[in-house]
Amino acid sequence: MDISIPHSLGRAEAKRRIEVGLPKLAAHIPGGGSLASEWAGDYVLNMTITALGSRIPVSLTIEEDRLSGSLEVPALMKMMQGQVAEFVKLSAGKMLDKV
Amino acid sequence: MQVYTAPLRDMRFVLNELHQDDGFGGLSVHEEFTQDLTDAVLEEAAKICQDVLLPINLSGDSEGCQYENGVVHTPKGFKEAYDQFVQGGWGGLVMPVEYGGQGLPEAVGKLVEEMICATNVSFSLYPGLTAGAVTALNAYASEELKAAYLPKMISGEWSGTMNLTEPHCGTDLGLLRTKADPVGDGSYKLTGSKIFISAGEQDLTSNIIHLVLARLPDAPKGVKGISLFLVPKFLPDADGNPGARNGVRASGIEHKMGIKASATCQMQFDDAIGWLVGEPHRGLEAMFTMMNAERVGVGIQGLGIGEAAYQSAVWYAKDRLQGRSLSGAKYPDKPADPIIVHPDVRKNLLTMRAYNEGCRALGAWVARGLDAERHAADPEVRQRAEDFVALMTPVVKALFTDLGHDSASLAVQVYGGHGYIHESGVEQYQRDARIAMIYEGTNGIQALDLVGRKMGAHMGRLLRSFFHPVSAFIEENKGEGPMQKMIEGLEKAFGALQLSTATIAEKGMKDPEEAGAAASDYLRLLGLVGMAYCFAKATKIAGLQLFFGTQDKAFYETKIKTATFFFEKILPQATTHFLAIKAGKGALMAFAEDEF
Repeated sequence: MDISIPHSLGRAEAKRRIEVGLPKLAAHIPGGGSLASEWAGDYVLNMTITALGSRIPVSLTIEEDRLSGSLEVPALMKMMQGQVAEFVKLSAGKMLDKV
Repeated sequence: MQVYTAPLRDMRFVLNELHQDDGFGGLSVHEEFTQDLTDAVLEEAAKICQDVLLPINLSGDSEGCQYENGVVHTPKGFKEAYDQFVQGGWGGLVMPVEYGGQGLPEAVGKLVEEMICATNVSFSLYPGLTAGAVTALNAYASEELKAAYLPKMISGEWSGTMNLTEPHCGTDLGLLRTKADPVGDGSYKLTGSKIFISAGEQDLTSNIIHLVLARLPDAPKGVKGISLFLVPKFLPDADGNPGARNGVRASGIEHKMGIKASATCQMQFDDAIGWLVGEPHRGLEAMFTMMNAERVGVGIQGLGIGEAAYQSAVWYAKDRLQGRSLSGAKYPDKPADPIIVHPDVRKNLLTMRAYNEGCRALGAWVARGLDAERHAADPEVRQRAEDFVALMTPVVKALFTDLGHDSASLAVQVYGGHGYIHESGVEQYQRDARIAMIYEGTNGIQALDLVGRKMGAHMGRLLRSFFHPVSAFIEENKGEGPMQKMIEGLEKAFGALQLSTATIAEKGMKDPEEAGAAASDYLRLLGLVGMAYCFAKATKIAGLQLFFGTQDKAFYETKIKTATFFFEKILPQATTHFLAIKAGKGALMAFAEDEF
């Protein structure tokens, strides 16, 4: 599922805020879940959300005016695709908002 | 009081969420049936069941069917309800499109069946038998017969029956005597008697199409000499409308313990004209196409009654004021607390609830298999689905009907003395539920089918269609986390099932009585593991929904509570069945006949 999160920070500032925000986000994942992340390029962030034994890979590319990317939910979570995308958008939005 | 509101939320859960990873979904033939459409179908089905079928359930039981000179009258309101049912197109819901059906998935159809059975299981038999007859005709009849009969049967204008049992033979069909003599023009004349024929005669439809097992003059003895015939009550005229009366009539109706509004007839065939369906001497194969479809349907009867019994018991447990809660008055302003405050009453209610949700979840998986075995594009998926359905058919039939009857009995218990009174409505559930454990092959026969035919078939391939997903789920979800207690419980019960399989395979090979002695325990054990697997998956989905944020928090939280109850209070029965299997046949066969 494709996702797009608009911002007006420019690429470099967006990346900086995400780097700062990631550890805090990982620490605040609700009970039973975890977040792992790694940079796959200067502006490409790969994350894996794990919850109750399910792994959801999320790939985000930082662009000048948006984060764009995709996520892939396991078959069992097909009905939750929209909720997972919303979760990612909210989490990314919080990181981008934090100065 | 008979209380029922279709459990649509749980139905949508098992239909749209629970089995999305089973590999049976995404069938192109069902693409047009979007979630919005199937939601609308379920909602409309709930309306007709709650508003039309439920109000004539208790009255239908009190009045029963009446027989008079070959004519059977169904109870007051049944004809009007049937007409409304037919006008709504409900009889053709999952039927083939080419003959006027709507072609909906079985996964939806079985949920609708559950609602029909919950509100009026007697009524369900009329369209239910027609559906089975359509299945057999569609698979085995000539194109000419199909064109002449299927459209009117699918529309509900005509109905169908299955005629197997004779006074001297039920389970052992090899003994049947009804004979079919060729007339010379492609038709046959059938003569003989049949008993226990559901909907054999009734006043709901303008024609009744009987599928009858009989022997041709040159038939070999035993089950290999049985052929299947189509015998209409009225022979169609040149325009295809009911014409001359055929030589088949009801000679009486059975006076039964339950399902009193279902006309169960004794049938007499006297030179009745019929046509062969399928190949000569291969009638049992064709009839079993119908029978297998019916067996899943009978399982759904158990589930439907179980749900109605549960809801009626919950209503009473909240309404009935008696005594005080053991932990102090919960409603001090009232003369007593409602009985739902008591742990034992709650145990009864939750047992029923867990049975119903577990069976609904398992049934939905099998229904998806029914769709996939017919429509999946990938032959491997079709094969896996066929294996799974073949394995689970006896489980659905026997487990669901046993548990449906248990639920009905528990509902009577919750009502106390009032439950034993006819007007309460719940004793009807127990009487109605009892037959489902017997017909379409007794539950003992289902267990033998599972152990004798299905377990070892194709070197255990059928079993693998169930074992593999369960085993994979355990492996994927083992380790730390909130579900661990459940996963451990599932793993233990699954281990008991695997060990039991090996024990029966080993002992049964040397001594078939060992397999027979273990059969019903094995079926229940497999059913418990199936329900546990479904509850564990449901818990995972519910947990994920709550994790990522859901608008329906209450539903998912309650689902986890029901699953927890199942694992803590019901799944331990798996150990009992395992130990009984392990004990072998000794204690059963030690008695000489004269010691009984």
